[in-house]
Amino acid sequence: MSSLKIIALAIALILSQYLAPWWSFTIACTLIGFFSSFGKWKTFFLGAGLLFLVWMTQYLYVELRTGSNIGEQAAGMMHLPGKYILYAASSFFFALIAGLSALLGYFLTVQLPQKIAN
Amino acid sequence: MKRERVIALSTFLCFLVVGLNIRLGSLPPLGKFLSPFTGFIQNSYDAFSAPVDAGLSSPVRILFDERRVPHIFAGGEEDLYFAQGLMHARDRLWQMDFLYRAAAGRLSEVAGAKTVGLDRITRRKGLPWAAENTLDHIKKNYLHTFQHLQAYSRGVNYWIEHLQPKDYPVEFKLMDYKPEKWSPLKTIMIQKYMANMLAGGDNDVERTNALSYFGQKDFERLFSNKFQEYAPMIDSGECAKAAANQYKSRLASTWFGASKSDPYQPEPGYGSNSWVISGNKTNSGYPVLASDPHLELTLPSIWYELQLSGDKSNAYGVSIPGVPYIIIGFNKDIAWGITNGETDVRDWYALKFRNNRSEYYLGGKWMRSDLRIEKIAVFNSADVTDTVLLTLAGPVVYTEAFNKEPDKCNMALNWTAHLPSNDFNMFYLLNRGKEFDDFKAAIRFMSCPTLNVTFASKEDIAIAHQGKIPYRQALQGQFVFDGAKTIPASQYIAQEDLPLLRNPEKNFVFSANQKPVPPNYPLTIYGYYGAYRNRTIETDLKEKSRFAVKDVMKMQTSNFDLFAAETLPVMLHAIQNVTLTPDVWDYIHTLRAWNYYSDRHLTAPLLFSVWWEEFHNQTWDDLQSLPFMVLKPNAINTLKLMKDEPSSKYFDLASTPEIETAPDVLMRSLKVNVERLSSYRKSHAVVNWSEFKNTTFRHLLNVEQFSRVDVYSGGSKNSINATTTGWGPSWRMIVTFDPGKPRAWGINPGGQSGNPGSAWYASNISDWAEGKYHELSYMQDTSSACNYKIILK
Repeated sequence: MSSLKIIALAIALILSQYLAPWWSFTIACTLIGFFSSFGKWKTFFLGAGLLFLVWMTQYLYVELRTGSNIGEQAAGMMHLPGKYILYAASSFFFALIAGLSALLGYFLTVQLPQKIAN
Repeated sequence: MKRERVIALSTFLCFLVVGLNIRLGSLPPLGKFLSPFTGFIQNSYDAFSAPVDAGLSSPVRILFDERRVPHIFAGGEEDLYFAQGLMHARDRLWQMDFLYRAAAGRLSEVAGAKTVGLDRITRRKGLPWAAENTLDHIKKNYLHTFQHLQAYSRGVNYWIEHLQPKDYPVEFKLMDYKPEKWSPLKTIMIQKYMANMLAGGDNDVERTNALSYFGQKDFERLFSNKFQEYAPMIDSGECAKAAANQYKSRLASTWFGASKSDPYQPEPGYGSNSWVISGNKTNSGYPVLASDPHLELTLPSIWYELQLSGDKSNAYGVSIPGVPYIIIGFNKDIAWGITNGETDVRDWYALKFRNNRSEYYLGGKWMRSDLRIEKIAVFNSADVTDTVLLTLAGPVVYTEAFNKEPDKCNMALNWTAHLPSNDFNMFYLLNRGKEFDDFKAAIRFMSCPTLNVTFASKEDIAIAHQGKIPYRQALQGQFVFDGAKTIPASQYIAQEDLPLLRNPEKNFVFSANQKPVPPNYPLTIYGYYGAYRNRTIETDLKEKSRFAVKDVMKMQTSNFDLFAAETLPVMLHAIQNVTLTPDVWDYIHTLRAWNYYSDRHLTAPLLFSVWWEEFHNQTWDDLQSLPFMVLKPNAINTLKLMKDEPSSKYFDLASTPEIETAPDVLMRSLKVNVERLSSYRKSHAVVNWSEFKNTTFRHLLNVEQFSRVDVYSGGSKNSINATTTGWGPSWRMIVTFDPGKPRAWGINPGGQSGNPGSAWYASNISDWAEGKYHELSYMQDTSSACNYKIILK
């Protein structure tokens, strides 16, 4: 898969997060998995990596732009020692879901040609 | 196999997404809440702007100063209150929603089953019913008020319509619900919520039980209200000897019963201060008005500061989110402050029922009950339906089906908060007032709670005790009424008979929730009045001949505790002949050296406070074990008993075989505290009054991270600076008049924003705790310097 295609899909992922509910990334990542030509683990890490990057970047962007302490407050509510741990843990957890969604897309690519052949 | 794999994975993902999209127990919907695009992190942004195309009749300019206070300049009144609604919604939307839900008994809809009991009490007390009646009354009789409430609601709704889910206040995200449209009824609900907060307590049942338990003779001694004669708001020489009106006696009979309950009782130590010094006693030659209402210290702050300038008014002060107008403030001609009147406006009527409660017996007649069906929606649970019985004496709050307070089972609550009124009009008229006559015309609209309203203009100073006060004869209203023999009050003290004092010779007026009238006042006014802060204020105002604004600031933040100054010497004197061990001696030595100021760094206020509490509790410990709730004699009467009868039977502790006297109980309680202090020192690095008092600004949802705990502050409930753990001066304001324009200083603990992620959320707390003030920027017009502005069209 060309890097251009990955960038296009990453943009689609970011847009989905701005314009649609949070769970729309699962659909975007399923599509990424479906259209990528990597093996299953690479597809998983592609979805997970993209989501982790997008969420983490957004957390840090807002954090740096505003200097607000709401991250610390939310971390306290989740019994975590600091806001960066919260950002990383949250991005990581949802990245796993993104990875699984991409994996679902990959499985569908394998499944569908079989169906078409049958 | 591959097909099953796809189905299994997609099913797993679906479950995961659904599970993370809904609120589970106390956990917020994690997907929504944690998403950096829509979740909590989006509340890092402060709302500075607002959508500007509002369809107003003329442009409204909103100028913001460096403390983010909006100064609204509008052509017409409807545009003005539209903009106020918009500003309240922009900065306090969730707080408004929460207060409304608390007042309407709709908390369970978002909080779940745990608040059903609270919602039922709210509805059974008749607050929503009263709000609906009040709305009808305003619609029919006060079109201008209704139009203001509508304009205000439009402003709130205009903000809500332009909100995206990512912009919702963080509490909506935590509890996973959306803001609802605002309406005039919701504003009225919040007014009823305030009435409940300020006049929602009484101790009629506990007093009735105390009379039964102690007997008439001891009751009169132990529950004497003589202390209420100290420094009344209006003293004997200033009080009319006869009422202007004739009042009819009514049929009434008290009832004596006893059962167990743990009710909310009014606390006279909590309240507010306000005083006005005439120009004859000030350096500037103009009056100075001070006002500091003591309320629960919450976040978001109870008050929202702003300036409202329309075609007929230009007022500055604090408002309540959810309600238009300025509640405490000033304009170019007048200033006004308020304290809670603390007059008892609630009575309980014990009723008999028959025919499955369809009829009740009142004043010698059987009457038909009205039923009001209340349906309470509950988050994640089935709806709860409750039936409220409405009688001529008021709603029946507790029945066998809902017996949270068995003492009050089958009693009707007769409360002036149920009466339709237009209390808003008082604030509207004060906002645009120019002179004393305007003040007098405005205050007559206040119904419930009773308020003491202070007033200053360049020429006049005044104070009034205002509200609907049931006409009662001696002792009526202090005990439970026997409904079978009693007709509920239908006559109220007439406006011209209510206490009002203008330009007294002493050159000041003052209120600290003390009794408003002297003993020679011809009508019965009974309440839960304080007796310490008022005397401190009166002494300060009498002693000094000239006041500068800085003197008033010093007074308003004074930590001098008159209760301690009167009580501690008596306690120390009582044990002067007792031999003290070294550790007790240290304790006493610290107290003997104390100057009675509850300053934050001192240990003595802590030592005194816990010693007195322990002594008071031990003295009346017998009352704790009774199967019914009895009012405990207050500090003043207990102290008197200690002085006059140290060997009284009431000092003998039931838990010991010996016969104790007051000095014995004092020593026992002292020893208990010496031990406690020793272990307290082991677990606390710092031991001082502030650390012990732990003044906390609690978030309305009790979220620890959104609260501010252990604020380093002085004060005590009997100091003018009445700062306690969760209660205190919720707004301090001082206003004076210069020839050109008013000058004012104030501080609102908390901040302008209700967003915990905002820099303006709790920005004033440290200045407030330090006793600092901000000079309030009273803008004359839209050319005034500001930080930024919004123009609404």
